[in-house]
Amino acid sequence: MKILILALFCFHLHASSWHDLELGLGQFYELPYQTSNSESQIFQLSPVILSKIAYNLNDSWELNPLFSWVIYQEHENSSSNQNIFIPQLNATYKYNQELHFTIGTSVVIYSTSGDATEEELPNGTGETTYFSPSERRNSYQQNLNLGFNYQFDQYTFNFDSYSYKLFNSELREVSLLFSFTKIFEIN
Amino acid sequence: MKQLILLLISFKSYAFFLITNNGAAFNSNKVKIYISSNSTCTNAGWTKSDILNMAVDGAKDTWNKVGRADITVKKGGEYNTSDGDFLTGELCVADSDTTCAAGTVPKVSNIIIACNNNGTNFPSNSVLAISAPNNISGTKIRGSVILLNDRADSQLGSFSKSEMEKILAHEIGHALGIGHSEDKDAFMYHTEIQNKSKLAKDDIYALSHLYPYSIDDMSCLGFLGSINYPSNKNYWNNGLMALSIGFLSIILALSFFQYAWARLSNNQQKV
Repeated sequence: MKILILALFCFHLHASSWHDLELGLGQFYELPYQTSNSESQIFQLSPVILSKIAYNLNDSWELNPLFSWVIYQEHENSSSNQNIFIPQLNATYKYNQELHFTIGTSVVIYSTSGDATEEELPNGTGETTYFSPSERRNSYQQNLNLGFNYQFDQYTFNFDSYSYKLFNSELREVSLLFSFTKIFEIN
Repeated sequence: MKQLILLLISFKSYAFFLITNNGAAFNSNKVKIYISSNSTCTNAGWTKSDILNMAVDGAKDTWNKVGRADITVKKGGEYNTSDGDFLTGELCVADSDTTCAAGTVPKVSNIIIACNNNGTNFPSNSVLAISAPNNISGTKIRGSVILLNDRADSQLGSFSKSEMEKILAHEIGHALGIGHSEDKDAFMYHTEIQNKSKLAKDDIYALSHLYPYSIDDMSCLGFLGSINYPSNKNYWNNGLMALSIGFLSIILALSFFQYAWARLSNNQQKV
């Protein structure tokens, strides 16, 4: 099975077909958790750094390995921090020169860590000592990616959506990524 | 417009906390919740059956919906006991090195709810419930207790069913190992829990930290939510395999639709 998958991926791989490297910035929204107890959560800033590379399959299709890093802010009391890493593989359909549609799959890695500090927080009529995480832990999730991008000059506007458990109404999660990337031609 | 821009650039930080300093969590991904059989809950104003059902419904609406955390709280039933310390004993948060004094709430397995009137647990009627793991071994929680205020002046009976579900969901969060949060939007914030509609990101990150899906748990086509790939400790056979097969499936499906579309277009031209 490994050989079959490798063979399928390597079929047609020519160095000359790698043609564009894109680097950019974006904003990430986790929809199920940003429509809840306060409006501020809807517009919370979750900056993303991303890079992708394009591999031409034919006139209509290209492959796009992509890596995104969603950076969350550390709390000012340095208790805990969260990051999301998203390695992904998309197939892009070039509808015309400007407008492209993408579909693919990704492994979303939710990474949480802390510095093992103690904090006294209100509890009932008094205070209780709680602890921030003492180690980094990662939770992995496979998502379906759907999106489109619009190219103009050497820049691209990208819209990507990440769906988890699409057909499970209880556990379905959808995240959105809006990003601008600059294109660097490498071939 | 100005308000929208301000909101768009507002930074929000997170600060979830845990009950233990080593991030202790249940070892199983399915935890059952019971209610002690000797609880009468007369002053709490709810029947045992109501309380258990509200706790399970509260968990279903909150913690059980977190797709990135590998934990499900399920209904157990009545926990048969005649031990009066469940009803009158002080809650002792104990790890394997701690010895609790006589007369404290007994160590348990899974999650046990009891209606309790101990004055140290509930110094006033403003404390609605308390909860903590009371059976910990290293980084593993073996059992947790949720105690509901059953003092004569308990306020629990004045809350609606929906509010009680949220209060109990907050306590289940503690039972699972999550501490209070500094985020006012979080379910694990120390007050106004009954006014929260759903979990905040802070709660989600705390739960996924305690109960993460490992790379070995990834399923082939997991984004569809149904097809599980046999799990083992081989990195390639799980994470990369899931990514590769998922991607190839999409390509095959696209190829099929492209082929079908081309055939359909050709047929229309012939007509």
